[in-house]
Amino acid sequence: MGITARLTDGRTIQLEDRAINSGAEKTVFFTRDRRHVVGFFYGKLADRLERVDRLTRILTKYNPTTGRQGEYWAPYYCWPTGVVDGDRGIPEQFARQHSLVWPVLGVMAPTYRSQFFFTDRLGQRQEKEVKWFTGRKAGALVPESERGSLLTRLQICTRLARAVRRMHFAGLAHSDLSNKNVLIDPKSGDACVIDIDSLVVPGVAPPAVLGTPGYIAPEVLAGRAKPSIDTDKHALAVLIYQILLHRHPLQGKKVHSTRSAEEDETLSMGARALFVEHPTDRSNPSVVPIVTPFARLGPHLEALFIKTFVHGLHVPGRRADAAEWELALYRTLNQIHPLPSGRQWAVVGPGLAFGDPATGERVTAPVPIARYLRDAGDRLIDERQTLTIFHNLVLHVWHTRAGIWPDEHASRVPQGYFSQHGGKWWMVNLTDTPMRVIDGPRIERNGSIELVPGLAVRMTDDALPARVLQFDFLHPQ
Amino acid sequence: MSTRRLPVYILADVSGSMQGTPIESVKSGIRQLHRDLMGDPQAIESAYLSVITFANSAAQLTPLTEVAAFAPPDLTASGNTNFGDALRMLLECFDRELMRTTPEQKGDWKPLVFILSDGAPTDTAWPMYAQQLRDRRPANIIAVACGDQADVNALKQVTEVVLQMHDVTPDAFRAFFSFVSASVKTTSAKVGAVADGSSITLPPPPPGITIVP
Repeated sequence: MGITARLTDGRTIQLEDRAINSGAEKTVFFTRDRRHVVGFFYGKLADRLERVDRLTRILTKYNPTTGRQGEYWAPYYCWPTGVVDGDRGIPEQFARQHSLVWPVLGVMAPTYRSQFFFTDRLGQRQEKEVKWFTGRKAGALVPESERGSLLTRLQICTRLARAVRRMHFAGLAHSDLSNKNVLIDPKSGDACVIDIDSLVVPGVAPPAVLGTPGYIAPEVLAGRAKPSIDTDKHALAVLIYQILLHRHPLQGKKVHSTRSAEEDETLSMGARALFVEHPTDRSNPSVVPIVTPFARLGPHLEALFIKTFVHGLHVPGRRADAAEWELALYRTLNQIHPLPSGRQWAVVGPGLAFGDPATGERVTAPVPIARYLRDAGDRLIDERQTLTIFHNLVLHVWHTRAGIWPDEHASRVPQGYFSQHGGKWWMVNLTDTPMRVIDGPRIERNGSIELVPGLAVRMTDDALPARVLQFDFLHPQ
Repeated sequence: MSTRRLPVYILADVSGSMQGTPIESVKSGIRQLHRDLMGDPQAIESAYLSVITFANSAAQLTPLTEVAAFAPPDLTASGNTNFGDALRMLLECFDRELMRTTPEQKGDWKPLVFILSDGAPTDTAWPMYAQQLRDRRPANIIAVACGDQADVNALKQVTEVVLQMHDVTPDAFRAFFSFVSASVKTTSAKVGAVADGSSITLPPPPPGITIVP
């Protein structure tokens, strides 16, 4: 048997009458073609008018998945596509049977893409919630082939940061970013933000929910603030830390109240929250042993974790924003190097160890790197970034030009590549634009140059400031 | 111990009147609950399950066990409804199994307890233990009265949250155990959410089961 529901935009949809599940606010049903789901609010809804107002704006004015670049952004979110509002939406008897708010209010959204499901070790199909990939016990049920690598996990974090950055630039706060409200696929490096309907929309009162424990910003738990873009920054940093390091940044051993677990937790995550890897205050050591300290992720992410969990933990304005995370993640992705087994990756760069502390696997051969310099005409300015080079690494415009990032605007056309051949390292130009060795020859299309310490190459013939790569070799300790 | 535990106790009436379909439904309900929780990574990390049964006396069939290691117990129905011994056993398990928060250690979340009963207590000691549970409030307790013979008032002495299952059918039990797993999932995800953390939010009761006001 099916249920007919009417959307506010006039469309009619057919729903299955058995609920898939019940969340904290909504009971969810499939459409009969199973391409969409509709979540109906149950129980009581105190702020109905605001909800409707918020949903309307989310569907229209603030919707990044429609209009220009809509296609680029669509896979980043499970953005709502329709609303059921009012007593003519569905049969009253059906609403009563499921204790739905009456008149009903429901939100339609696309079904999750197939890569966000996996088959666990018991043969059950599961949604790829973050917790499967960060929890010790849950992780034991995840097949090896689904666990991904540092590379795919950095890609996941990049996509999350980019998705959140896009919302924040539009003035939207997600307000409930958490391990329940994003799906990740460590196998492919994909990620998707879900549960979009509690977004804080400019001009509409914020939602009543404070968020999900573990991701609620300290000032919100302490009752001093409401969810906002600043509190999203905290949640985003917690997620990135967890996905990359498999532990929670604030879950330490320090006990703040012996009256109840609930009170202790509120203080540990709220007013008295303290980073488990605080560089000077060691009083809250992580509840799980730390094998990979956060500094092992390289200087770019290290700086932002310090910024967010040390300086910004109780000072929201000092937290790193989503765009900074995105940039730091691009820079970190420029520093990863495959490990000899071919399955895992490590961040390799000046001053960093040559392997993965978790497995003990190490890179044993010298690794070529390129320092980024900016040609300002009369001098070369150090951009304080390095590119770690490995066999078959492809060069893109974000490597060859200053000020370009692998975001929604960048071209994906290969510009060149690196290759190890005959015991030597080479860089090959794949474009019609010659590269120029400083005080040396030009490298035309399909031409190559051997990498030697000190070699400096102007990557494009652009007007200033152009990017210069200066090569060097790191040697295993 | 990486994260706090969420202890979940199931207190099932296995007196003679539960024989046949009801006891089989409870058994398959516990198996279904376990399957459901194995699909929730948050519950796998934090939830711990225990099954206590009561008839002539109470017995803890499964000590508090993490979800991944839990094996649903076999149940048989016969005898009286020694509700007092069930509550005594529950309090004893709390004392023995729960980790308290101390200055050195993060203790357990407040336990979730689900009591199923289809009859009236046959002992006389139960009001004393019910009083203790009401006074100490060591847990969030949800009781379900299975059918019209269940003593709703006795359950009300233990907790404010009493559900009434009208028709004692396999479907009703299945729906109830879905509600149990939804409650455990919501609680394991939401514990500590609000500053006044004492109350928990439960999902809506399933069709055929109503909240006794």
